[in-house]
Amino acid sequence: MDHVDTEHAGAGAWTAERHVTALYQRHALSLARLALLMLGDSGAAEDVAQDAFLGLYRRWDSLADPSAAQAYAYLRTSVLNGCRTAMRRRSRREVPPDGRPAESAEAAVLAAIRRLPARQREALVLRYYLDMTESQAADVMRVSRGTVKSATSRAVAAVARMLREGS
Amino acid sequence: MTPAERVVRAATRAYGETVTELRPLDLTAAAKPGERHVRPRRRRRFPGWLAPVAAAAAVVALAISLVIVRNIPARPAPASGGVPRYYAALVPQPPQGFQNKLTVGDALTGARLATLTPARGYSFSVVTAAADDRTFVVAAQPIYDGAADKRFPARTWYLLRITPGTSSQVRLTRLPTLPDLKGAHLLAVALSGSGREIAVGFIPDYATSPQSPVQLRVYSVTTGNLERAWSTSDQTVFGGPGRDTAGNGPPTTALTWVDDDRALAFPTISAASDPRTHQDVMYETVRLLDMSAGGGDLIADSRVIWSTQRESVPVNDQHGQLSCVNNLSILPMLTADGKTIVCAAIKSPNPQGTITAPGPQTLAWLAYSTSAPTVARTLAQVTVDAPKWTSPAIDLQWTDSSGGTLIGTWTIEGASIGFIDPNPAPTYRPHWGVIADGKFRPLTTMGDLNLYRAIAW
Repeated sequence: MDHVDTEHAGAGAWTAERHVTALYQRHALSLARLALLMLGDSGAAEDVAQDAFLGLYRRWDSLADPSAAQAYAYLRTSVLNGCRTAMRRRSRREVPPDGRPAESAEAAVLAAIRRLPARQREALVLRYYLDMTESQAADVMRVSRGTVKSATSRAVAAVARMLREGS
Repeated sequence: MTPAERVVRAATRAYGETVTELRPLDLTAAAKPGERHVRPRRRRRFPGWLAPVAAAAAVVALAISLVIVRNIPARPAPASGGVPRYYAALVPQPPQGFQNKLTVGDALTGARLATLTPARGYSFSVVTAAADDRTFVVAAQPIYDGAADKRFPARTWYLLRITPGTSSQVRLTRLPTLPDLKGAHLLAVALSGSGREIAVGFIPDYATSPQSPVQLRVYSVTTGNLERAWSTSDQTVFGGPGRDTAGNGPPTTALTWVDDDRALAFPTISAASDPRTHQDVMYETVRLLDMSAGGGDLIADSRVIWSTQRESVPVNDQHGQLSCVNNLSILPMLTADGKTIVCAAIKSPNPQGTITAPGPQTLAWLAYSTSAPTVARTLAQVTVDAPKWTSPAIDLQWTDSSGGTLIGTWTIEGASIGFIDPNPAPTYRPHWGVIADGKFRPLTTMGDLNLYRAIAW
């Protein structure tokens, strides 16, 4: 994981600005992509990612371990929390994926993923988009490894079923 | 991994790749570290019958916001000393580096309002200001192979709004509809006084067809629609393509909106041999383009309102006169009221490009009335005791709408081109100042201006 110079960590806004800006340069795109997969809306995904960095900036002084790894973990958790909040707010509103033709096989997969329950979708994205192990995904989702395993298994089966039914 | 898992992985990755860039992170929107963040009050759920009311209110709110956008004051509220209070500047990071951040500051108090970082892999490349002292348009270009990517002098555009006294003083909004200028050589960019239009001068496909006609296009900032277009094969317009604008944008003096945005003014600078004297002569003009007139030929549809000329290597007494034509990089400028040409001038005992003798040399900022374009009025002058092997330089950065207050720079440069300098002159840093009331006063409230690649007021 990338190293952030912590020599001046906690030394004030300037230090926070410098570190958060560096983290933004390095991780903003991947975190926005993660949010896009969760939300299916690029504008909302970008907002969630930006909010995560702004939150990190505000809390920089209170971070117990402002290393790059910890900061990234904080950001990733913030993005997932932001996605959960956004999904709750629009729980019954379906948003089509941006710029992807609905009739393509890829779009059908994405549409199927978006029809999954939130926890299954999250497990699927963490396991297959971020390539996390079941243990890592369990830590991020704050559930047991068994829950990740069952959620992932059910998600894959549901996607496969939806694709069969759609074809 | 099962086939279904492989399909999920491929689809999620392909979809994730559709996000290729993000807007810059604006840390001014956040409370500072350690400060208490006031979470916006959560909206209450409202009953379904309120939806039409809310929709109507939204339409009204949109209309009000459009009115606000359309009614930016045409003229700035001047800061102390007659210069605009707020500025936006391109700042290389690290110093002398290839990536520009954007600093927004208050020239009156010296406060820095925000420093904005471009999206990953991008550098801010252009900044231009409206007349209200609150509205700017900024462009960013990609970074390629460790340098500003000249293939995209301005790829993504943003609207920058300063709202003093609010929790988010600086707001940057993406303008997705303005053109990316792929392959163009950027010559001039100017946001109109109202902030509603942006004029862009460029040579398209410059790398492959450097002799392509110069284009001047005016776009709506809000819709991105192309409103007017002109072209010309005369590449002397906007000062010509000789300067490298990649990474620091074109000079602010290359194109100006005048007469309440009803016209555009731009310079031409050229050099030619005088058939009688066989001397190279530099010609400089300012042309006025009426936006309401028809036509699409930039030269045929504009008119010369001011011109001057000077021998490049004077053999007569010309070098004893103050002249705005010093070299091809200093551009004269028409003020927004359309009544005055302002420019930077040198009276040198030696012509540009030759060994200079030590001694006092005069630098000045001049003004010409468009009604009497041959009569120069000295706005301010500086006498420089230039050491041997050096030559003075002067430039114009900004003018108010009438030419009453200017921002300019002067410096002493090292040995001139074409001569081997046995004792290299020290590096002289440009002096920035406000020119008003016949004086050049150092501009000290904006920090070290020499750290900036471009500034818009």
